[in-house]
Amino acid sequence: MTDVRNSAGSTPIPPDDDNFERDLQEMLEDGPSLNEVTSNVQGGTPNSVSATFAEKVGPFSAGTSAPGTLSTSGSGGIYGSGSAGSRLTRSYTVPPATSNVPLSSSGNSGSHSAGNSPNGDFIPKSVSLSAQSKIETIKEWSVNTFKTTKQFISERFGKGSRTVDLEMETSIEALRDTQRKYANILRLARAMSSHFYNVVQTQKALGEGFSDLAQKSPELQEEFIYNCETQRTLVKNGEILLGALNFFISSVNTLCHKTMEDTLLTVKNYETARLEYDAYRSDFESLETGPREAATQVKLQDAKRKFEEHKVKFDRLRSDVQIKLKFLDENRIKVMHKQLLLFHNAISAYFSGNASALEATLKQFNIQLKRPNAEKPSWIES
Amino acid sequence: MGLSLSSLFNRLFGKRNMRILMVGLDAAGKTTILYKLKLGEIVTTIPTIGFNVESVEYKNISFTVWDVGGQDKIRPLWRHYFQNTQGLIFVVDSNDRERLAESKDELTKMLQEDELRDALLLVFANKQDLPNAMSCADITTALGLQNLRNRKWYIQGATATQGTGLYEGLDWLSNELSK
Repeated sequence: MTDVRNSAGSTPIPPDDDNFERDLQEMLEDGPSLNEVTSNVQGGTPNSVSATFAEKVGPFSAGTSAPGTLSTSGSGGIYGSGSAGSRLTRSYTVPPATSNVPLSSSGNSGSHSAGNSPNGDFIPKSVSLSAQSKIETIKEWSVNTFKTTKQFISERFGKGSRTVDLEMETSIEALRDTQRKYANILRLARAMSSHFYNVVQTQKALGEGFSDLAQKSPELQEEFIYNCETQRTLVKNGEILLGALNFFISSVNTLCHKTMEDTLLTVKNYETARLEYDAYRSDFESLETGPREAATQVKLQDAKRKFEEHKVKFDRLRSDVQIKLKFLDENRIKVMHKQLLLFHNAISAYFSGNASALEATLKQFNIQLKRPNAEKPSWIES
Repeated sequence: MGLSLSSLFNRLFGKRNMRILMVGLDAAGKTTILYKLKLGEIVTTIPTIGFNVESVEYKNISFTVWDVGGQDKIRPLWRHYFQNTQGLIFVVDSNDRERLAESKDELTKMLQEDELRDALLLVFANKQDLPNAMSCADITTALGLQNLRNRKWYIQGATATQGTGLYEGLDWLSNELSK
């Protein structure tokens, strides 16, 4: 939405609009306004979405406009909506300064996206603008896509030149590799946890079987009871180990699929920006080496402007990636240091039969076997 | 048909994800809140340099909470974590009257960011247990929340060390998300 509006603001409508288009735009004026949803720059114009929202949550927003009612207890909450109800009336009564604008001058942004017709009816005027700007957006998008695709293909065939930041690309590749390897560890840890869960379930069943037999066969009662108790102890410790394993899995999962993914998303944006930058750069360079005439001069200026725009974007994303890679590395080391310690201590304590060390490990890492917010979910939720 | 059935199934039974960014001035209690939510316990925290990320499961929503350090030197880093943020948790120390204006500045600056234009805003008025704590209403005024336009917001009094108010805040976020 915002892009649409912005591009409308930056590109003036050609003066030779024919009558047909003008008629069409007059017809469109009666439709609902699309542009107003996000536009904050308009002075005193209605904001239809927030207006309906304010109506919908009437009681709450009424509460916000009267601060006296807010003083609830310390932990009480207060609702707020985007706009207070009072704005609603104002937006409908105050006419914008420019109510009947001729279309040819409507290129300069949406400051008059709503007008009042002579009899006071409310008519949004921005549909024509947004239709126009949509065409512009599509045009810009297709030019951009064409250029980047061209660049992409020429790079693939080894013709085009590409900007390479060796150091950065090495560390990006290293990150992707780390993610793959961590994902593999995660998969194995999950498999182990699931096997171990089954072992514990079997031990539980075995323990019950022993205890049942102990009652029914007095001649072997003692032996059965011993076995039953051993299995029960194993189950108890096994469940503690499972708690540790699951905590490890959940943390590594967050690291691998949330934290790293976030940086990789920035990396993707960076790579797109790199391609765009190179596309506009080669565009500009080919124009620059070409013949210099009055006609190409304008084109050259335009290409130069576009090239610099994309250079700024590319440079910004490059520094973003640099920073994020650094922070990600710190976070990864911090998280893995803790998790690997937990994993090692829990596993070695369990398999060396040291139940008290196992419990101490879980306490050290503040792990509770029941999740903190687990009132049992109903069967329909789980 | 099969596709719509499975999407219905996902809507009813599947886990949904929500990306939350938690920021605020230093020593507001962000990390304490994060680990109270994750572990249900109070852990000893040190000032966060960098960030912490934890997944918190609550009401069938998987909240991925990003807690980014709040010291003034590293505040410019917040913007790196704005992308795809659906909910913004802004933590305020209710006892720190002197720096409330600073909080307001940071919040206002952040809400102007394009990447956060659709994000829900949840304000935790933390440390409500202290005797001199400001009320939610006072903080609402001090932060200028009533004047926010095009923003869904909610303020919740909280005491991270006792865990009060935290889940109420998440309740609001999950309700707004499922709307």
